[in-house]
Order: sequence, then C-alpha cells, then structure tokens
Amino acid sequence: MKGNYTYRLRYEKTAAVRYISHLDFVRVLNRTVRRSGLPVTYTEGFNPHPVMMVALPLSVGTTSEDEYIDIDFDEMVEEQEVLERFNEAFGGGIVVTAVKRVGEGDISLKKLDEAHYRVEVELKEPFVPDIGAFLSRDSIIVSKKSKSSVKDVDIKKDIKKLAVMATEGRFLTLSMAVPAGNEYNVKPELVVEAMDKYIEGFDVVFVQCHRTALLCEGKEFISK
Amino acid sequence: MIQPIDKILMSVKKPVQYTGGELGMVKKDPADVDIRFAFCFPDNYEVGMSHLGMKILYHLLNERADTYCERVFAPWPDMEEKMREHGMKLFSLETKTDVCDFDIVGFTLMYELSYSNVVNMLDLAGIPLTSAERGAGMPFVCAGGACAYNPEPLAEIIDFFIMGEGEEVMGELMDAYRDWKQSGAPREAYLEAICGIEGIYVPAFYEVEYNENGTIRSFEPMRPCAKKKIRKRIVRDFTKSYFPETLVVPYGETVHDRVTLEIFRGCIRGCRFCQAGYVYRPVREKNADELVGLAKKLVAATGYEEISLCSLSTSDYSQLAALTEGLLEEAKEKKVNLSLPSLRIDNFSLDLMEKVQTVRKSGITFAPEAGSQRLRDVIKKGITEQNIIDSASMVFKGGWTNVKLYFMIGLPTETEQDLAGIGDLAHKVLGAYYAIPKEERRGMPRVSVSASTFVPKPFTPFQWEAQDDIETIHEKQRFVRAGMKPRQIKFSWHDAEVSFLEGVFARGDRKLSKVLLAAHENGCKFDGWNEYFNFEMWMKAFEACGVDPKFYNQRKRSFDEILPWDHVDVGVGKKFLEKEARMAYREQMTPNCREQCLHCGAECFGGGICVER
Repeated sequence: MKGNYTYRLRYEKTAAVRYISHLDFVRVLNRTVRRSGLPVTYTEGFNPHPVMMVALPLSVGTTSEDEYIDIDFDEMVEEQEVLERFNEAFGGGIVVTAVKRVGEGDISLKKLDEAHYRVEVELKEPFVPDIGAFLSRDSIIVSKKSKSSVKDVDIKKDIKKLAVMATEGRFLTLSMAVPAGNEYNVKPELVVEAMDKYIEGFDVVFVQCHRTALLCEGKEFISK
Repeated sequence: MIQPIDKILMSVKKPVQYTGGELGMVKKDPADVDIRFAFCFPDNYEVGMSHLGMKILYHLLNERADTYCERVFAPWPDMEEKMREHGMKLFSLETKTDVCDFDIVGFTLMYELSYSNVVNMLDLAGIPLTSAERGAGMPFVCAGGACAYNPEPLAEIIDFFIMGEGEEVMGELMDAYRDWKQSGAPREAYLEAICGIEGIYVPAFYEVEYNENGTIRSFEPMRPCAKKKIRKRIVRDFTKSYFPETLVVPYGETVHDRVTLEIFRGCIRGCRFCQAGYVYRPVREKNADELVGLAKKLVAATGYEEISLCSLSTSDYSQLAALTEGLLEEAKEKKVNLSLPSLRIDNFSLDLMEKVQTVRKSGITFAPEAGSQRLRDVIKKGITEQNIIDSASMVFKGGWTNVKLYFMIGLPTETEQDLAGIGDLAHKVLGAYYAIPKEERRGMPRVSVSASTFVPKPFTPFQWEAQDDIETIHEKQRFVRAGMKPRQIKFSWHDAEVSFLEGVFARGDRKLSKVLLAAHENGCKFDGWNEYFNFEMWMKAFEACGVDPKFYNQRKRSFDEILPWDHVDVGVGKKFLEKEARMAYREQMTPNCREQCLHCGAECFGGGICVER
C-alpha cells in the first residue's frame, strides 16, 4: 500500500515525553494523524491505519532532536501546513521542526546507518576519563543483548567518535557516534558500559541519552 | 541535566504512567484557583484512566474557573517502594503537587477490593488515615462511586460520602467549600454545612449501637444537621447531562483506551443478583442524535481509533438502530472501529456484528447466569434455554465459532441439579454447532464457560442471603468442572477467596474500618490483582481486630434486621426488595420496568422511564 505523496517529518522528542515507549509512540502517531485531519493514506481492510515509517525506534528515557518519519498522503498539501497541523495535533512534547515532500533524490529512511548522541553520565566519584587511552585498546568487549541471546562482541570499530564535552563534579557529558539502523545497532549505553568496565575509576551510577543526529553515510535526511 | 526523579522512573515498570502531560490534560495555574481537588483512583493508571466517571467529573470540575481538579492513581508497588525509599509523597499528575496539599481529596470506589488501596494512598500521601485524626489545614477526604452505597466499612476513614451521580452535587460541594474557606470557620463547619446538600453523608455525625449478637440495634444522627436518610442524587435528564467534548488521551496503554459513549443509565431488567440494576434506577436514555454528535466531536478531539458503547443491557436501548447507523457512518469516514458490548442475539444484532470487526475477534458472549430454568426464574434472568440455543445456532450459522457463557455459582436456592445444568447447557450450545449441516460449518467450535461466585450485594433482593463458604464453592466448582467433558468446552472460574473478601466488605458495617487499617499494616494492597492478593494477611487482620468475617458474608439475615446501609436511600425501597425476594423463593418472575411499573420506589426521582411511561 502506497499513497500518492510521501512527506518526511523531522521532529524532536522532548524531556516531557521521554518515557513514551516506541509502541506507545506508534499509537500516539495514529491518533495524531487522525486529529490533524490531513489527507493521510490509510491501509485497506477492517483495521485501517496510516501508511507511515518511523526511521528508528527510540528507547524509553531517551530524548532526541533529530527523529524522522515518512507518512503517505492521498493529496498534496503545503509543507508548512503539514508542519503546523501536526504540531497542533501533537499538542506539545513532540515537536515537528521540518517537513519535506520526498522526491526522487531523497535517501530512504531504511538506509540510515549512524546515530549521534549526547550522553550524560553520573559517576560514583568525580573522574575525567582518558578517552584516547580507552579507544587505543586492542579490543573493547561487551556483552550485547539481542532478541534471543546475549553474546560478547568487540565494539572497538563501532565507536566512530567519542569525546568528553563537559565535566562537573560527578557528572560528565559525552558525545559519541555509533552505528544505527535495522541491520546493526549499537546503543550509547553500551559504550558507557564498556567505559565502566575498562576505565579504572569510571564507575557509572546513571546514564541519560539524547540523540542529536540520524545520518546515512554522513548525510542528513532533511538538510538543516 | 539528570534529575533525581529520572533515576527513579528509569528503574520502574511503565514510567509513562507517572509523568502526566497527556493530550487533553487540563493545565491551570494553581495560584489562580480557590479550590484544588485531587481526584484519586484507588488502582493503577491503566485501570483508572479507563473509568468513565472520572473522565466526566475531571472535566466537569475543571470547567469551574475557581477549581483545579488533578488526577492521582495508585503507584504500582515497584514505584511505591522507590517513593518510600526517597521520601516522596503521593503526587498529582498535572502539577506533581503532594496530595496532602490539596483542599479536597476524592476517591472513587469502583469495587470493594480497592479499599486497601484507598488506605495505602492516604498513607503514601502523608494524610492521617482516619477522619478523627484529621485537623485544621488538612484536606477533606471524600468518596463516591458504586460501592459508596454501602459506605459503612470506610466510615472511620472517609470524611464525607457522595451518594449517587456526581454531576450536579460536585458543583454544590465546591460552592460550599469556597464559602467555608472565605468564612474562616473551623473544619467541622464545612462538614455541617454540606449535610444540607442532598446526597452528602458525614459518617462521623452518626452513632451506631449494636446488639449482643453483633447486629445493629440503632443507627442515629447525633447532630441536627445530619439527616435520618441520605437520598442519592441523579441526573434527571440524561440527554442534557454534562459530558466532556474532549478527553485525556493516555500515552501508555490502558484497559479501555477509546471513546466511550454512555448511552443510558440504569437497567429495566432488575435481575435479582445485580446491584447495578437497582442502585442506578431509573432508566434514563441519552438521545441517539446527541450521542452521534458527541462521538464526532470526541473522535476529532482525541484521534481515538475506536468508539464503544457503555451501559447495562445495551440491547434495551430504544434507539439502538438509529445510533449504530449514525456511528457506523462516522466510523467509516474517520477510519475508526465501532466496538459493541454483548447484545441480545437477533437478526438485527447479527447483521450489526457482521459489519463490526471487533466482535469477530472476541467471539460472542451469553450470560445465562444459572444452569436451570428454575434458577434463572429465581434470579429473574428473563431468558429461556430455547432462547440461548436458538441464539447460539444463529451465531454458529453466521460463521462465528467462539461462544462464551457466563454463569454464577452459589446463587440462592441452588441445588445440584441447577449446577449440573451448567454443563448440560454448555453441551447443548456445542450441539447447536453440530446440528448445522457439515458443509455449512466453519472452523472449530469453542465454548468457553466461565463461572463467578455469587456475592450478595446491598440494595438487591438477595441482600439478606448467606454467601457460600469457600469449601462449598470449591466443591461446586469441582462438580461443575467434572460435567464438562469435550475438549471444545473450556471451563474457568473465579478465586473463591477473593469473592469471600468481596462479600465481607460489600455488606460490612463500621467495625470493618479497623480491619481495613490492620490489613494495611499487614501490607495488603492491590487486592484485585492476583499477584498481590494475600488472603492470609487479611485473615490475620480480622483475627487481630476480633472481627469474624463470616458474620458479614455467611450469615442469613432476617428481613427485619437493621442493615448497615439502611440510612442510604437509593429510591428502591426495602419493602420492595423483600417482596422481590419472596417472589424469588416462589421461583416467580416479575415484569421489567418497560412491561409494567412495580413501584419499586425509584419514581421519587421524577425522571426517566418512571415518568415517560
């Protein structure tokens, strides 16, 4: 099932709605679409739902400023109108920041391969880690959970960027770039877990993540 | 910035239930209002947010510029543990204000098994558990809802009860509160003032004396302001009654997460076991056009994908065809589903169910309630075996394969023959499937038989009955189960211990307040949830208080006994109920409200079917 036009929405998931799970979010989207009154394409059958694709699920507790969704429309609508009506229908919490009608040259959301995060970490004791030394290890082994199993994997090659942005007592802020997408995904929490494992004195109490970018081969899905 | 609350929320299940901020949530500045009302639901968010009465009263109270009503739900035990560990008090979802800082704290009492949560929520709020301990500067604690018709088990805990439908009385209570607050009069003056409002009951203003055998000798008002009888309130014209045009749309999943249309209140049937059938009288319908218009507004405002109908015995709605026609049109246009409650099976309802996807998924439900015609006449369930078999036959021919049958075990006058009738009827329903020519059958049939335990309730003709003891119920459950042979019949039953406790509190008196407090001390909470129900701890609480639970549920009362709820007037009279009970023993049916008025007493409200006839 495909509509005549596809619109791509970039949106933020703010702190107020950080505890909505991905499944909750899909339900919220369905209702938001109906409230918006926009000519969205629905699937056929007894239980129709809007034709749409969310770029990448966001974990419970994680906020983001760079999320994407593609929604199919039966009719063409001004991009600005789509943005305004969605924002009104969301009623806060989720904020649409850009809308673009998807054309020939646009990258499919399915090709997404990298995510950037800003990660706040609370430590037991104040400590500033030596990221250079951590990344120059031969291997960085963590146990990674999949749907069916837990196995040890080496994520050294996966950490594309890692830096300390700020420290304040027991709190520090990291920025990182990791693989993302349906094929292979590394959660930012896993990188922090590895740091806790390998860096002496880096004892993690709590982690809070904020996604700053979703990319495909370094390119943005809607250019800023 | 990492906030302390985030660390707690990340460590509990379904944190989204504690954050509020949903679409449709009412936002006000607490500094702009005179009255802050904490609407407390003594169960978790997913149950509480499904409750229609709360939705109505929440928006109704918030229509007032001088009042801010906020929602409070019972935190799940994992959250409660974290809150206690961090010294957090029970808070409201809207502004995260401590419940103890509100003016009025109101609980809705939907079922007896939520009483321990009322106490636990007060405790978590830091509010003294009994009304006697609450002094100046503390919130008033009130309660209403279905169970409030017998308020006595909570008499020492709740400051005042609201009897009946809250729509009108809430406004009067708020006006009185504002006046009292401005006057600077002592706390008691407010309670005295609201005694003048019809439907308000202040238990502390009454004194009960008991006979040596534990029954009530006298129940007397101790102040001039306290009425001898407290009559429930109702909305006379239900079509014109308030209903919000928007709803709070939860982020997380809830039990009933959809637009619910209440099509009428009350029930014409008067099944003798059913409390709702008596306490909600008289029957008052809402006009179909009004309901369709409301559905349109609510779907547009909420974006919900489903509309459902809510009432007792929905098939009795006089404009069902017009209503469903209008709703199906709206459903098609807005791509929403219409979900139907169980309807009496006939050509109309089958045709309707054919058009509605949600019914196909869940199968079709019948409620014979009792296994034999004799017992169905006793309980005034106006259906015959032939009705049921014919309906099942139509359903199977219509292509449905899943049929559910609801029964009760432990009904008054029940014999082994009546119990054997449950299995017989299930077999006959299954037989209706095999009576269809082979080439016309579809799929494999499945008959699910569910048996709950009969619990006698106040304001029913069976309010004087003894409830079966746990051992007898277990025996009867085994007996019924043994009668279900084929694998196409599935039998399930209710926990007899849960029904035991429900039975105690349903017809309890004031002495149970102490037991409730003791059970809370023992850690009892979420009694409606299997994983938390702890029968042993309850029995210890009864023992510690020197209260015999069997006095309340397993004792047959005489018609002239003073019952703990006799001071509550629901319209339906005690004499009428007695007459109905005697008819039950004679195995005789009586006409329903549409056939003939039996002058039950509900005429006193001057509304609905009593005046339309």
